[in-house]
Amino acid sequence: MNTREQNSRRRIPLFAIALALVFLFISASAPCLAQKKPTALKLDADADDKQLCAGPLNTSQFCDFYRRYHLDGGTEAQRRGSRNEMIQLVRGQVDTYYKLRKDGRKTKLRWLQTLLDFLEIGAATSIGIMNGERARGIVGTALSGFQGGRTAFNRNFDVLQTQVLINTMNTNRADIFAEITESSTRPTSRYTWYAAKNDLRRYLFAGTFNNALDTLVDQTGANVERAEENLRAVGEISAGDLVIARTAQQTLIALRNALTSDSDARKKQALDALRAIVVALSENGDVKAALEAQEITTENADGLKIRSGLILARGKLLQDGKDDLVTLINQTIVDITADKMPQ
Amino acid sequence: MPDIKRLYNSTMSSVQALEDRCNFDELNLPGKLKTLKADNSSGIKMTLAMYEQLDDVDGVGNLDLNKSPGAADSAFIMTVETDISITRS
Repeated sequence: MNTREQNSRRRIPLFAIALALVFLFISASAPCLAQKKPTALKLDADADDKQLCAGPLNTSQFCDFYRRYHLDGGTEAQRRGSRNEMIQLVRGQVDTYYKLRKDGRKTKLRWLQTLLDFLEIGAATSIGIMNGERARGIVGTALSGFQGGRTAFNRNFDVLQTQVLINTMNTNRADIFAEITESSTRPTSRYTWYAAKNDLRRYLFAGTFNNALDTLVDQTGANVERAEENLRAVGEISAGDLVIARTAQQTLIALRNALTSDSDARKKQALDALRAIVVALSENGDVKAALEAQEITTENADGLKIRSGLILARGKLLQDGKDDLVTLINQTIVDITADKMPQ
Repeated sequence: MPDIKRLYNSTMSSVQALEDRCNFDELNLPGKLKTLKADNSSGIKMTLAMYEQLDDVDGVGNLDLNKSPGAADSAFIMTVETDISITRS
């Protein structure tokens, strides 16, 4: 056997292995196409329910509900019942489709990771047992390329990132179904069969990876914009926190009046109260840091400066979204002043 | 002093809840609310508030917010854009 024939024979198994790997890679990373979308939500611009029920869905429950909904002389209760039954039926189909797609994607990713581990370990072992510097060099270079490719793959299709997308899909689906549930209490004149179907189609789309990616991109864009402005959206506060804030406002005004009065005794009382407030608040690391940023420590002897520093530090904590610390400051101002400056 | 910008999420359960939030912020910034604006430009609904920053806490925390169709200010209440009038008691 000459050298050319030997080379040719070696190339055949290598080619077969490469082909098998390409096949495995494509089959594992391709989206799960096997699951069929619910026919009731068929994505055909020209399809309507009349056509669907004259064709593939003729004997289906969906078409029973459709016919009952459009029955001449039917009552509102019948129409509403048919619409709501259709919602539950199609919802079940969408949920099944979603579960199969989601589970299929997770399973395929796990299989692919196992395959990649197997190939990577195999190549690394080969280097150890292989004879010849040239051959080792080639396999080593190929392994580096393989590991680089795997890193890129993991970056794009990592299971954790998939889980983030699935969480987003779950949230979107729950939001839309909450809307559908609320709408299903409306009369059919305000929430028609087709409005319900359109909402169910949104429910279907909410369970797709593309839709979840779009949502994440929207949210990330908005978060970046907020980050640039150093702003975060805040929600409601409790009635109790507002009452404490109002009482603290009155207390701060009373402290200022005492510090600017002609009475040395009142001035001393107010200064002692403010120092005690700083001491108490310094037990909290975050509040202590906020006070120190305003150059307020327990050593300050200027009551007005301590008071204005307290107000500034509290305002900064509010802007940082730390409502709980703002209330802690207000509560401490109220409690300690009540002890140190009895009216 | 520069104005202070605040963002409120769109799920405020009522105008009263928004009023409490604004009064709380006025008391603690301290500042005076100038405008409220329902904002959806980033794709996420939120209410943008502008406060005029003050040195002290006098005359703040006495806001009255009410639904008022056609009012200049607006906010998201339960994610629905609502016209709001801002007055003080």
